[in-house]
Amino acid sequence: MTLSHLVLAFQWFYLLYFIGINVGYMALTFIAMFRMGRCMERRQSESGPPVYSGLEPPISVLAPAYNEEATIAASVRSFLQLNYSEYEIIVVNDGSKDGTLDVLIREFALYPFPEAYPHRVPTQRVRGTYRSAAHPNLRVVDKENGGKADALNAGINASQYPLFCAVDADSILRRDSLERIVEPFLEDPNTVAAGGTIRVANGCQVAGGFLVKADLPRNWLALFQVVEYLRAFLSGRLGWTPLNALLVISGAFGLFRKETVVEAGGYRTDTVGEDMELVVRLHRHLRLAGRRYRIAFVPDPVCWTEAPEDMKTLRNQRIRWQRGLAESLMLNRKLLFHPRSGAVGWLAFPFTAFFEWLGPFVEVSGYLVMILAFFMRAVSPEALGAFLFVALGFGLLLSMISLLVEEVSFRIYPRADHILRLFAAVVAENFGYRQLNSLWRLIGLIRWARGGKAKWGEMKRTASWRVPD
Amino acid sequence: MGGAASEGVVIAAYQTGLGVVAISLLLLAEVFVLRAILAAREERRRRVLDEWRPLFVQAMVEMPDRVPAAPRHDAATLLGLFNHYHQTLRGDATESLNRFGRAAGLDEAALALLRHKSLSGRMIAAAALGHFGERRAWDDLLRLAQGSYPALSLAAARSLMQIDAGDALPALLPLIMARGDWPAARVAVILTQAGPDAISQPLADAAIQAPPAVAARLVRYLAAAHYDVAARALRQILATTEDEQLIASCLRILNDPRDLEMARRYLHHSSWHVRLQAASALGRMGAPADTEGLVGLLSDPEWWVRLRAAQALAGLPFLSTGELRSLQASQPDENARAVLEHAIMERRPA
Repeated sequence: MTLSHLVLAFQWFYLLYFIGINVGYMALTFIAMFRMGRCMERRQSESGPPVYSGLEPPISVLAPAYNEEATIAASVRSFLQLNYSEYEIIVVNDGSKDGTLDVLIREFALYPFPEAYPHRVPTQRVRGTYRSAAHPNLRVVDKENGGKADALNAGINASQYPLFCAVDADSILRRDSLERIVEPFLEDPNTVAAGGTIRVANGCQVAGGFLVKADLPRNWLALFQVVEYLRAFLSGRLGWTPLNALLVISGAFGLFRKETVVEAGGYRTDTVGEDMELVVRLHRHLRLAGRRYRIAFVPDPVCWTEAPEDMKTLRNQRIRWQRGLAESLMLNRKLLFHPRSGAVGWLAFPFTAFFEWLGPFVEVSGYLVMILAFFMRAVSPEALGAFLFVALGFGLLLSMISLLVEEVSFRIYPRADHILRLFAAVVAENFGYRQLNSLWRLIGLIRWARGGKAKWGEMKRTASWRVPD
Repeated sequence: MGGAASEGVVIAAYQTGLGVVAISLLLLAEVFVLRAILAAREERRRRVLDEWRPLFVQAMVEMPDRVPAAPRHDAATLLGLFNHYHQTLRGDATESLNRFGRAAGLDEAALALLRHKSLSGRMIAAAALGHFGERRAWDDLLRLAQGSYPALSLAAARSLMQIDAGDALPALLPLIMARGDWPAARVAVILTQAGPDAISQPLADAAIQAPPAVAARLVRYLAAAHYDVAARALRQILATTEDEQLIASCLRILNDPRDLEMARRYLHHSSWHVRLQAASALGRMGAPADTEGLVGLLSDPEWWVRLRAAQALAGLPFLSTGELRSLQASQPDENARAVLEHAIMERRPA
């Protein structure tokens, strides 16, 4: 086989991969657009505050906290102001080395309470539990450090309600976040999990723990992530929902049926992608048992979170996410092409495995092969240019469709200059950012393949959007 | 790829790239056009609301001197505002608002909008016609209540109940029983707002006759009914059913000391859900003789039953904290002592 044959074979492979990934995402995007239309029609007819009957399922909001002394009080205060008929907040202090527990005790008049509850999911030792004299629906579990998944499992054990909502301690919610995300559970009692759209908080103004003004970040990295999140949530996740094949619910905000999660074993503590792994495992557990269930997605922006603004933190995050994805798929590989796995095992899983799991390898090698072939004169400048141009074009198109979906739905960014800046980001991300991402994800893939313990790492948080209380 | 074929592919690739870039730019233009259209719509909406909001507010107290005719184009906006105010009003103010709405022609606008294609328009119109108590919309609303879209059918059902609960409930009960896509929480709101006089007997009759799975749902709605009517139905159901879910649903509502004996019968039921509700029932209406039964549940195999039994004991008004402590000390089972500690502390917070 000559070099030119090899190059030809590679070109056909990458062409087919390119067609496959873009056709796949286009299909998801069109499904998402249709779903969004129905959702917005319903939103437009709403008027006035909701009326509660008392039959809404009560919710336990679980907020794991590790070294959050600077922000935990504000976060809990915002959680206490959520609009919902009945809910409790359980903050799990996961062995913080700073004054997180002291802040909670002081700010919320906590006192030790001898909670008696079954420890159905194994966790690290619980040192004590507290209740609040000022807020009857606030409880704190103090435990030895075990990581986020372990903390969530401790929260699950302590929760008294049939649904639990896993949030990050620094998640910024809307007052109606619980009302929105519980809707799938009201509409269909077979719903076992629901997620919502996560937005980037950078550049926004937050006061009292709630978003008061949406704006775009000045930082280019964060701006690229705004576009990414729009693509991921408004196209990707919304597109999989009608097929009941959504593979991930963000750890920043997700609602789950407690008994189903406990039955499936709770969160795994040996993966960095515990949020995705749980959802994939729920699919495996329920599909293979032949049980009727639904995992839903609510397109409303229910949660805002800070995105990394420096390369190091972003890099660590993307490496971790790719590892988490690889672990989640590998741990639940039984789902792939299983006769009972339906759209999850025959569509979503292979799509994700091929285009997300192996995607970084294909993308990075594609660039390298094309550049190498160009320098070896096996590929003409015109062919290389064409390849890059088409790749840029489809990247632009998918992002623009997501912007359009955002425009006809929530229109979070109201000004004309917002659209121009987003468009600039849509174009600019194709000249380095996407390629860097692919490289980082490839590193994550390699590290997963080599084994070894993954670390969360530290995220440099600026919280510059937070207006002082 | 070599030669002419290769060149052809490269040209095709460039053309494809040009095409998708052009579509992307068109989408960008569409975003701006849409934004301009929506901004204009929003501006118009704001002007309409600014003009009409003071009139609505005044109308809640007294009819304004001048009532303009509601522009047809802005019907959905004004009906939305009408519905919004109705959500927060009670009593005479709602009647005043309705008089104003009719004078402005909003009732006719709602009737027209109800037959529109737009889903949001029909939902707004359905809600408004319910607030108006507009009998002319009856047939259309009934048709929508039987339709396939859950949110719209529920909105129509709610309006029918507002217009005439007595006539509506017999037509809606079969739907309430059959439609799994109507969330129980939403149905409960509709029934509660209709009032116990309208719903008690028909609901109770339906619960008695329905199959167990449906009856369990209907029994939950009986919480909004007159208790004496509900209790008669619950007693009749409990006398005959062996369905665990239905028994638990009935026990959840029982709150009459005359039904103590019935509740006591379920303390040792095979289903822990039933035992839990039996413990709760005894906690609500128990007599001193029930202490022993509840103490027995402190060592139940199901943890939630143990905790509920402890909470029921702690809730009994005739048991002092000292007596509870003695009870706790006498328990050989560590789990029983732990749940009692929890329940006693809940009774007496620090």
